[in-house]
Amino acid sequence: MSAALVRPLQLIYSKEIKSEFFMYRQSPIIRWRKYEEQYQLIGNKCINCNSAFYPKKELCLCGNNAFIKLQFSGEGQLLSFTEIKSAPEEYAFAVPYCLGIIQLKEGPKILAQITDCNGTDLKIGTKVQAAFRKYYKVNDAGIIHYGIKFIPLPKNDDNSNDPIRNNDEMSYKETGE
Amino acid sequence: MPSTNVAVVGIAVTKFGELWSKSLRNLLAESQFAALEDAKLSPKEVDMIVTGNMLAGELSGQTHLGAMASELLNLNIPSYRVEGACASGSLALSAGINAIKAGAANIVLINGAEKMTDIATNQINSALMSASNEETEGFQGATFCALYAMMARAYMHEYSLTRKQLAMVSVKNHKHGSLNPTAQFRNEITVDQVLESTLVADPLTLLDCSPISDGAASVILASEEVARKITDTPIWILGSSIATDSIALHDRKSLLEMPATAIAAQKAYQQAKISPEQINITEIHDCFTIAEIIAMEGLNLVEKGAAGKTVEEGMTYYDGKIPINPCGGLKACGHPIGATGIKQVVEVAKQLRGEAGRRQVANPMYGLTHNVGGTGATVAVNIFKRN
Amino acid sequence: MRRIKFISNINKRTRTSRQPLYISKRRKTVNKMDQQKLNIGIIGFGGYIPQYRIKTEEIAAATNNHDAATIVNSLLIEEKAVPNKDEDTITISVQSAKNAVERANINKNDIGAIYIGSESHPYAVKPSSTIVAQALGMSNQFTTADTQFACKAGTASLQIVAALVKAGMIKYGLAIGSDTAQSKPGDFLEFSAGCGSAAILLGNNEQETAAFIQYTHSITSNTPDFWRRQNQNHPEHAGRFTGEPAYFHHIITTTTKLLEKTDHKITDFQHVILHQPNGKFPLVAAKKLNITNQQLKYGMLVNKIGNCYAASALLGLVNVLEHALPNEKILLTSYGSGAGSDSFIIETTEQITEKQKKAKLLKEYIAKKEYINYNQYRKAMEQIV
Repeated sequence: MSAALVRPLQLIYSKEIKSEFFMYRQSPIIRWRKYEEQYQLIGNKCINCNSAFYPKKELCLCGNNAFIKLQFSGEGQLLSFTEIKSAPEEYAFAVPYCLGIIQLKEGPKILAQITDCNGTDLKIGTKVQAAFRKYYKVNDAGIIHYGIKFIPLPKNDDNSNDPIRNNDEMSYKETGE
Repeated sequence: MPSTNVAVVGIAVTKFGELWSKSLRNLLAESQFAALEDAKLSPKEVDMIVTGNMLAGELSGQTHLGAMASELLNLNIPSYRVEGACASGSLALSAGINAIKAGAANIVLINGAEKMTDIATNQINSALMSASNEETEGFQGATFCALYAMMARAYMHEYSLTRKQLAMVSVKNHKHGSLNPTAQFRNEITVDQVLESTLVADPLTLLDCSPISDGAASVILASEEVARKITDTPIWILGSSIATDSIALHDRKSLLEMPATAIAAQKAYQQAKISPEQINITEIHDCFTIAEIIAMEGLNLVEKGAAGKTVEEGMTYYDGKIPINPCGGLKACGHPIGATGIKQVVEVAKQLRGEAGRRQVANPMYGLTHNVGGTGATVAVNIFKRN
Repeated sequence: MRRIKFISNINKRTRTSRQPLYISKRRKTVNKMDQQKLNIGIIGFGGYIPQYRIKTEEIAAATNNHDAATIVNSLLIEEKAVPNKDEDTITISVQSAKNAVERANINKNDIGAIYIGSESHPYAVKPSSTIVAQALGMSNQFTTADTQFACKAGTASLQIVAALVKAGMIKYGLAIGSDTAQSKPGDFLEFSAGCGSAAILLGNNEQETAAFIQYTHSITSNTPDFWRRQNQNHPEHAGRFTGEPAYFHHIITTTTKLLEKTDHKITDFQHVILHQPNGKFPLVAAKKLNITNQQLKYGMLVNKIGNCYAASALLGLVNVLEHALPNEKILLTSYGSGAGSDSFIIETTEQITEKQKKAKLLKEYIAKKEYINYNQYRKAMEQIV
């Protein structure tokens, strides 16, 4: 599949190409159907072979079509990632942003943006955690789309220093009147 | 009653590139007329038309291309448009082959056409994502470059493919493009230029990625009986197979391969009753440099993990041991989406006929085309033999 | 020279001019109000601060305000929190609410109300809480409406939810204060407008109660110190008028009133939280109210995160709750321009210690930071409209 890049550089980074997004991207209804799934990371699990799927699967690989709802913990690790410099129009404002394929703890793989990081922070195998974030808005008057992105977890989690408690002196100067 | 063999009896391809003054209709017309001329057939002799195209609806507001193709020839015959993302052309070919084998037609005109450059770049980026899983990939902000970039990263992490070897795929294709008069890019490039060009989706740069293009290609298929009557150089279709897989990259079992490629290839080799070593010229779907690497292995042209080395040793040039993409591939020849699958057939046919001019592969007997939709959700493999 | 006025129940005179009201040491009578404890349980609490920070000196340099040192000294803000391009009041509320719910240890489906106070709701019509509730996975058996009252929208929400719980109309309720504060480029507010969210979960559940809201008092006036018109991106303010007649008058009056009517002295409290528009104002107000630095210690976060507007006072409360010992008394007074103040007396229980460990601590969010420059800051702010 082709990418986008014969044009002069200024067009690649141009923000002046304002547009009314193509019809389906303006419809709030298409996304509304999947709010619960998308916001809460809910998929399903086959009752026959216990395979987990996100988003929910219609027909399991084992041939069974009966499932139960399953909410994922949001924990996972990066199988691969990239930093995008040339984006589709609805995400042009966000460039550069990171995209990753994450293996969720419960099994299935998911594609999502990795946020609160630079491309250089990421490695294959980095542990990530789901977070609720804004995707994009359909221009200034349109609906705002939300969903799940992932944040890389710091290497050592217990590395918190209290700027207040550990420092008995006030961190600001007292003033008199 | 055994089904008939099918041959390619006419071929044509337009120039690929930013063809400002040509509309989709103009391209379709040009390509169809040229193919008929090449086959020395008149429009009235065509029984059926199948046209492959992906984005005419979204980018031109024009669907119903079957009727357009037919009206251009002033005909009332059955005419279809088929879509399979970037494999649309091959799906059109497949439909034509099936129609002939079923006895529903004797002469079928197959088109592939695409008009992309009327629309702004980042809007095209969005439109292209309809070939991905819209909800789980497009909506998340993916582009195809990003998806293939992730495959590249995973592949480089797993095997010893170097960034330089990846770049050499592009260098080779540009060399071929310089030898192809209808290619979009005729300039040769260097490895350094590839590495230093703008990052699009890390680690892929501008020169790792195929461009946005306009263009059309057509072939005419005929049943064996008819083919022998109308031409001395029928190009036989020995094997033609399609395989599909999950739309989304992350729904497949591995980021390092395209299972559909192996499945389609195996079926095609079986039908053709030949082995990969016998293939003399291959047209691979190099939408991104990494795609050519992965496909070389999926088609069994080289061993798993060995593609990088093979490229580095120069074996995939048109005059090398395993010629790949002598027309310049998608990278240099251009990638008008629906047209690519048919352009590949045109190139193989040209080579097998000995009409490829400066990029002629020496004495080829068998040729293979490999056409992919999305990141491997549809893969078509066709095997051809000269008469 | 202090001005002294007598106020008695019988002879209520309306003041004809707006004079600051000072407290007389000699006055004995107060408006007799119901002094019964409310006993409204705080079951869960949690906060969220985005990870990006911009230093005051960075803003000063970029806006050609070379006197960075003076600004830092006058505002006592070193750096402030900045939302990422994909964060807004809704997403940060989800985060703080998740932490509060984790601490609460209850069934989410029993939450009967959610009120979010903010001056940066993404929609003017469509409550942020509808989206937050769905992201949390709450059932849809709840009531809601968004609130706005500048920086006291969070505590206003707290009072609403407290009342619903006390009235027995709901079992549990979430009160959230969140803001991704906007400021005009080059305006002085740029140095302080920060970003954060704090959530308090209230309910009737002895076992899970970390603290009780015992008393509350509010005053409201029509004071044009700071406002934003419907279709404007940035607020306007009246300069120095935002001090004495606005912030100080309301904070001091409300706090004093609450202490009076509930028969408390300022020394009764181990922790005091005041709204923090900058690092200086609360210290000045504290001096007037005889609040010590020790009492202010855990409630003052502005130096590191800026003024989080509707979240400011509640974030102070969350930090206090995350550090407080059992059986301590907390005094909280918020201030919202326009103007008004809500004051609360809160008492911690034995169960608070257990609750503290149950979710990510605010201090962890504050410690996790990435500095950005002014350009990046303005790009992030472009997304907040």
